[in-house]
Amino acid sequence: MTLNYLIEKEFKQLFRNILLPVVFVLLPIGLMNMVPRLATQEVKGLKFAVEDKSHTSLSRQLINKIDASNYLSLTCYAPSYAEAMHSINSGDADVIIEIPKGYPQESSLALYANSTNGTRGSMASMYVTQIAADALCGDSETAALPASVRFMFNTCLDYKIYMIPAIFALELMLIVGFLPALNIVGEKEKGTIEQINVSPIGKIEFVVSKIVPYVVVGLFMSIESLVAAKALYDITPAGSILTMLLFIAVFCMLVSSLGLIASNYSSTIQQAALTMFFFLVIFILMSGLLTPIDSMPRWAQLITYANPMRYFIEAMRFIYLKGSTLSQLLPQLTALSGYAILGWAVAIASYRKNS
Amino acid sequence: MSIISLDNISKSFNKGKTKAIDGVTLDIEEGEFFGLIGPDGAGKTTTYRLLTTLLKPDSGTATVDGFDIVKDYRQIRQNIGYMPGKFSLYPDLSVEENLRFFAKTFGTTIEENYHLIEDIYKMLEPFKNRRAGKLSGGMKQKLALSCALIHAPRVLFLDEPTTGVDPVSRKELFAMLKKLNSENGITIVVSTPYRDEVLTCSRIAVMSEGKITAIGRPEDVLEPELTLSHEVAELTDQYVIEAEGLTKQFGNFVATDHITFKVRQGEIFGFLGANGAGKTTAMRMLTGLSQPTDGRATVAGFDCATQYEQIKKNIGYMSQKFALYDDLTVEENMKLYGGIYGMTPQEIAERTTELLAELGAESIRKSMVKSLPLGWKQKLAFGVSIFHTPGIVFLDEPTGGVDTETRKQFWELIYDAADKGITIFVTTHYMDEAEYCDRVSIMVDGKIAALGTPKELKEKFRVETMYDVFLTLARKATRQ
Repeated sequence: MTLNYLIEKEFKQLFRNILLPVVFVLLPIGLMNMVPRLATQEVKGLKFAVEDKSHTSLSRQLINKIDASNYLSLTCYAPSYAEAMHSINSGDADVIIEIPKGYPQESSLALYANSTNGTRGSMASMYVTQIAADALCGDSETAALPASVRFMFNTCLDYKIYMIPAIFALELMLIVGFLPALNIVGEKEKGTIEQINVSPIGKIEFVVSKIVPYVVVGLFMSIESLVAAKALYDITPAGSILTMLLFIAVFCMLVSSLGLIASNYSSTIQQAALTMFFFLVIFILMSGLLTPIDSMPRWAQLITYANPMRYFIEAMRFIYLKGSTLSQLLPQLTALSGYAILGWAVAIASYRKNS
Repeated sequence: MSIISLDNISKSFNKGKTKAIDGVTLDIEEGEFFGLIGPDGAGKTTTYRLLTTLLKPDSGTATVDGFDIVKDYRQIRQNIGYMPGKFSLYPDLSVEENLRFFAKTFGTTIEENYHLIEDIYKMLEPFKNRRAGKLSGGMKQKLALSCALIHAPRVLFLDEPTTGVDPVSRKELFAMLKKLNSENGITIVVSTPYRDEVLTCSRIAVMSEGKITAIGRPEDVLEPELTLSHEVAELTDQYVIEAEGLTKQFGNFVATDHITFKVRQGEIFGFLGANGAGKTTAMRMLTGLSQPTDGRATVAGFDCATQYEQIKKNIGYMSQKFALYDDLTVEENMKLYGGIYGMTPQEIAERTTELLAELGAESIRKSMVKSLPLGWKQKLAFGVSIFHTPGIVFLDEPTGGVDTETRKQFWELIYDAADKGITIFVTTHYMDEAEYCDRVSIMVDGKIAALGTPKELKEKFRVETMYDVFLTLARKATRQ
């Protein structure tokens, strides 16, 4: 079989490269070490000022409780609103809690958050609301409180577990998408593709031989990432690893087809790399990898449906966090497979041995 | 005092493992037209790079125009011009922008030294707004020479300036160099693989494996011209390539313009023409890489517009640019291509041994291709192109940039292949090689201007050599 010879050649070239094998090993470990620690939206060390007008045991209990939390600490016990505001201006506090007279029966808490940094402000007010609600729970007098909140699947609101599934998408895009693109254009630049094009080798065989090594590398790196996530953060997927690998394989097929399309339309490595960067940036921004899709404007949310990476990240998060099964993830699998087939059709049609 | 003087200079690479130059001592006088001759890997380029202060020697001293190549490199760089082997132009800048850029780098203007480049630049002026990357090989070299001259250097170093350039442009370029040397007194150090060019030098040094083996007048030093003899095989009337009105048009530009010719089985067919005459385009159609826009052609009985994949099974091809994988070994490259052409592992093993013996390449069987000298690479590329024993093999400038000795060996390989009945379709810029072909066609401006045996053509144009036949025809070209 001709394909065997071609794949053998690709593997030889891959491992004779001094840099690439090192990248394959270090990239997953590096990403797994850095991304969850750096790209976090947890807010810690918030400072708050209190203006307590009710002076009841309940209000003092509430203040103590907030102060005792991991997230907030009391920096100013202000006698008046003006003074509390002063502590915000001077940077001593991020949020003012005003406990009015007659709290909690006749009035409710007032929160003033410094939202210069939006996330910090909103997180501070969210934490205070939660703690206040908790404090009032179980108190029979205050049964009027409508609901209690419980976080599911990610009970400690740990951002790491949210980021880890997304790292798979990132590294697969970089290796399985980029490298085949650069590889084929590299053959164009060197001139070796001329000798290939003038041989009877089939288009599909040639293209498949370029992909196989990188899909193998992609699977290797995914497994490496799984192990790294367990070792570094003790986080393992709640769902089946096999389902995960299935999604990874389909995603590899998809990104590699993008790489091939980019390489077929480029004549230099520069062009191919820039085209792939364009895809990469759009895909990441529009995938929910860094920011939740639900908080995007409506038009952008609609565009994310056209982004295959969205489905992959969704599926990975569902498997990792919720333990979703294959049947529950059928919509994502269908969408991804559809894009992969489309991508391959375009890739093979656009590779021309005769012009 | 000599304008260039090397005293026991040595330079090695790879931490001393590869000795590029080994104790070279040489003096070149002011006003000389000096030839640096030798096969690939002899150390010519390293010598140029040392003298142009791009490299530092490991030991020994050298001076250019009285300045030391290590200490006074700034002065040397102001006073010399260097044309490296590969094009040193910016392909995305226009002809004029390139020239202006080089002038500015040396703190001068095009106008100041225009008299030096006038002859050359006049030919380029109609295209001064064209990008350098879009020029033909000959034009690029003329521009590169203009750029190397624009700061009025006292010494000009040229590393194979005529390699890959067609015979007409080649002649023009050397005539210009001669004029610069005799009228402007510029000392010239040049290397070239062409014998006729070597003979125009006032003195030459022959290099081999990093050492100078002979210095003197070219007619005293140069070995007698190589001759090859080949008995023309009994030619059948069976045609393996038939082209009828074959045409390729890119927009308004007709690269190959209705060419009609036939090639017999077992023949060595020389496909000649100046740079840009349309040879490569025609070859790309015949090898199934490109679709004709008009006319038709069959190769091995298959139509090149529709059955191009069948053609590919029956031909071998060696592209102008070296196209083997340089990060695979000799043996691995052969195995790969054997596999691509559907040979069994056993066939591949047998053929590898057989071919390595024919090429005399047993010793480099396991060498990485990138570590081999150019001459070897070209022989290997030819070997790989006939690995699957095709009926026809297409060779696109197979001997470009290769030294005389290797060229001769290469042609012996071609003759061996032809003796086995393989039809050879070859393009070349070497007119001595044209003499070795059974029949040749000469393309001018996309059309076939002459077709016949070398003997017939020489008689027809009443000249002595194929070189003169070519010049007579190519001078009529209007296309640039």
